[in-house]
Amino acid sequence: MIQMFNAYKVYPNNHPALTDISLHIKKGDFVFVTGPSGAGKTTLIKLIFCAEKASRGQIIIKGINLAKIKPSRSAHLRRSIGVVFQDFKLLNNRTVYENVVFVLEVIGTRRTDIKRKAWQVLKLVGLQSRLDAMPLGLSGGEQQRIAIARAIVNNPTILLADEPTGNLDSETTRDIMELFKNVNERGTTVVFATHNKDLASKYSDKHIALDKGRRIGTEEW
Amino acid sequence: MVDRILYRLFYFAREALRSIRHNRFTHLVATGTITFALLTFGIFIITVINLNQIFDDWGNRIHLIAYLDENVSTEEIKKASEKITRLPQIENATYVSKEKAFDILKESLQDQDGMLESLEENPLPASLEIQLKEEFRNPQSLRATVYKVKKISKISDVEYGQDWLERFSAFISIVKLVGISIGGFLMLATILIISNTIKLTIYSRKEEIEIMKLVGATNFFIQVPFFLEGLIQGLAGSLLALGILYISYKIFIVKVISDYSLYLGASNLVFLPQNLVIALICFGILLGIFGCALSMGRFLKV
Repeated sequence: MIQMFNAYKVYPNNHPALTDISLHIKKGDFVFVTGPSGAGKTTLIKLIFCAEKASRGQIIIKGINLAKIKPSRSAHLRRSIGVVFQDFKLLNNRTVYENVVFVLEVIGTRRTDIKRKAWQVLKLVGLQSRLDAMPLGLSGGEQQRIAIARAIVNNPTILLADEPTGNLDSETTRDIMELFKNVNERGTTVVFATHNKDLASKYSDKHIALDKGRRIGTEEW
Repeated sequence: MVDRILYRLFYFAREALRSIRHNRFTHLVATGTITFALLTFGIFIITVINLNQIFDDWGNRIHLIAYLDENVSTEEIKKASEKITRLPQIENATYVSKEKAFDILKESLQDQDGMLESLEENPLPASLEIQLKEEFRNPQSLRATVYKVKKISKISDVEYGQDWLERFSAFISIVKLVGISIGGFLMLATILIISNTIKLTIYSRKEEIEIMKLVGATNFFIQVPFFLEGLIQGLAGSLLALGILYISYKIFIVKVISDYSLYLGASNLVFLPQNLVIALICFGILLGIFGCALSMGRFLKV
């Protein structure tokens, strides 16, 4: 599903964000990317959804080599990848419902399917009673649920999460983690970046540990 | 298929209108900038058109006066007149008798015509007033025509304000050159200002663009509503500018200029002709769209 072979990422200021990363994440995996701030977790996530290009090495997502991908192709690839961020990245001038519908409209879903899909996913994340609320009027946990709903409404094969629980209390974190587990059980591959090692070991034994842009640990994959 | 295309179009229009509603202030600034720029441009064009018209009018007054010898017979006058009108440069020639010339002089002196009473006889010569065809109303042709007219028998002298004409021609050339330079400069400044204003409006929505890219929107899909917004801004800006221009023109013409039209030339001041009105609207729309295109590029490189 996701393969990297000796991938490097150096930012224009010559700062090496990732150095010689190889990995292989299989379909249906729930993988944690762990490491302290600045370890390269966010860069790794960005490389997977084509927000950044690797400076060296090969990255293959769903059989597509990202080194040679065209912009229109990468847009299409992103439709099968859901992304959730620590800061939610919601459209704050749109309602909960509109934030989710927005994705379906952008990717050209049939009008008849839009309502049904949006309703189903908002029910799944437990926001079916807050459809007309504006994001900023909701709690952090609820906002993250909108972001998750938006990320999974199109049934992505990969769900990426960049510190999605970083701003949430422990109880909300547990709820959100249950949601991710639920999504993973439906067959979606989940890549979850966090600095919280305890959280990682609680939910999965597949970890990619990063430090200063390098992979540490002894895992084979 | 048709259903999907219609739905897409509906989506684009809805998004453009939603964005205008939500970002009222930035859109107002962008539309205001386009209005102001086109207004300046419109005023400039109207000025050039009217100056041209006034100059043409002044140009139409270029004529020659061929003075006839003393004591010429009617037959000789007729012959000279015919010879003159046969020249290719001449539109017509009108005979002004000694008496008529005297009357004209008397009329022009108005209250001071008493000074003419001391004259024992009419000192003014009879003359032929010669109008040139439009294409020959320039210093070079005029000089050549004068040379030919002078050679005709019974013509004693030919008068035509040469100095004035040469200065006038030079003046018009300079005005035209300055006009073209200012026009070009204005156009460039307008495009720059508008593209920067639109850049600001797009910058204020870079998060929205980022999210659209994130969920897999193609660049085309992201751009269309922005282009529509640019189009609407351009259209609104140009219509507003034309409206202000027309109202100002009406007020200006009625209250101010009509009193002075006698001094400026007989012609009335005109508004923009229809084709320029359409051109200005199209220019406004293009400004909106191109301003948008120029500014979009850097926000799409995710």
